[in-house]
Amino acid sequence: MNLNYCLTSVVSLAHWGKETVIYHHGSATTHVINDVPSEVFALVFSGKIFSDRDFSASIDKGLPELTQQEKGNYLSILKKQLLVIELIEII
Amino acid sequence: MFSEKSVENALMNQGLILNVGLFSFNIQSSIRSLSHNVTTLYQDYPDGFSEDRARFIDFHICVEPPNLWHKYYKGQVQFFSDGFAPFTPLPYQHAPAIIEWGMNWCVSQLINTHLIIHAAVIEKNGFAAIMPAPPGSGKSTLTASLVQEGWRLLSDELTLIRIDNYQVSPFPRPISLKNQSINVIKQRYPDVVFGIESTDTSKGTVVHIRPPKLSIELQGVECPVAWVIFPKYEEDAETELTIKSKAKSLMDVADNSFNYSRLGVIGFDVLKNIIEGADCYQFRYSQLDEAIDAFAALELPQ
Repeated sequence: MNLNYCLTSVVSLAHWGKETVIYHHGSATTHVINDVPSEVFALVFSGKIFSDRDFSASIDKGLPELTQQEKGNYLSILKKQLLVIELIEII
Repeated sequence: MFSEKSVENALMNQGLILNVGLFSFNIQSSIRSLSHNVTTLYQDYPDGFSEDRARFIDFHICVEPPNLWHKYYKGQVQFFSDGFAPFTPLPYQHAPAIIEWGMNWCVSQLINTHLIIHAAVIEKNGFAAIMPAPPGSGKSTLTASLVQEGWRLLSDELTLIRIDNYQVSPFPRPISLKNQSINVIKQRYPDVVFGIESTDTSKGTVVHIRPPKLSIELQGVECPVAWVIFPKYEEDAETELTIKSKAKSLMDVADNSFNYSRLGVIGFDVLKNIIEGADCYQFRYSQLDEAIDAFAALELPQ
C-alpha cells in the first residue's frame, strides 16, 4: 500500500551533526531525532505531501550503503517514530 | 551604609525598595528577623534604601501571617505578591528563606521578556557560564565557591536570557546554601557573610549568603553565553568535564526552564542560538579545588 503523508504543523529545526532538534509549532513540543539523512529530512520537512514511495526514494539516496531489507526496516521505524510524536500524519 | 532600624521602619511601613538587576521589589513585613536578614544580605545594593518612591515597582511583596489564627496559634507566615499567595503558610522562623523563595517565584512565574532557566550563571572575561541542575547537584556550593574565586555572580537560581539579543541579564541575589554546604563554605571562605539560618524547612537547613560587592556593582552589565555546564556533585568522583551533545543540552536546558513552553517558538529560537554558540559539558566533581581549576581552564570563545 502506498500511503500519503504530510507534516501536521509548521516546524523549526536545529541541526548539529547527526542530531536534529525539532520544535513543532502545532503542539509546542520539542523532539530530538538522531541519524536521519538530510535527504529524508528535506522530504519530510518540505511542507509537501509525500508518499511511501517518495520516502523510500529519499532513503535510497541518503543511505545507499544499506540493503533493501535494512532500508525497509529503517523506513518502518522512522515512520512509526514520526507518527507517534505526531509530526506527520497519514492523509 | 544604613541601619537595621531604618530597614525595619521601611519594611513595617511604606515598604523597602530593593533594586535587583532589572527588577525593583517593594517589600513589606512586620517580622523583625527579616529586617536583620535583609540588612545583612542586601547591604551593598544600590538605591535599595532610598526614598525612590517615584520609580516603577515591578513586584509588591510581603511576608505576614495570613490571619490571627496563623499568627498566634500556628505561628505561621505566608508570602504574598500583589496580594496573591502562591505558597501555603510556613513556620514563622522560615521567613528569611520564604522571602528569597518568593522573590524567585515572582521573576520565574511572571516575567516573559526573558527565557528563564533554573540555573546558576556566572561570568568571567565577559562570557557567561550557565549551570542548569536539579536540586542536590551541588550547584549552589560550586557557584558560591567560584564567585569567591573571581567569577562574577549573575544569578544563583535564575538565568535570565533576553529574547531579543540572547544576552544574560544579571539578577545577582544572595546565594542559597543548604545543609552540609553551609559548613563547607563557612570553612573555605570565613569572610563570607551569612544571613539567618532557617532550620527544618522542606529543603533542610537553608541560609543565604551575601553576594560579592562587585557582582552587585556590575548588575547592569549583560554578557553572552560561552558555556553551558551541567554540574553534578558525586562523593569521591574524579573531576570530569565531558562534552555533551548539543541536542541533549538543548532538551535538558528546556526541561530546566520555567517559561520555555510559555514562550513557544521564541523560547526554542533563544535556546537554539544559545546552544549553537556555546560549548556544552557534563561536569562531575567531588573536590571543590579541582572544580575551580576546571572552570579556570575553560577555553574562551574564538
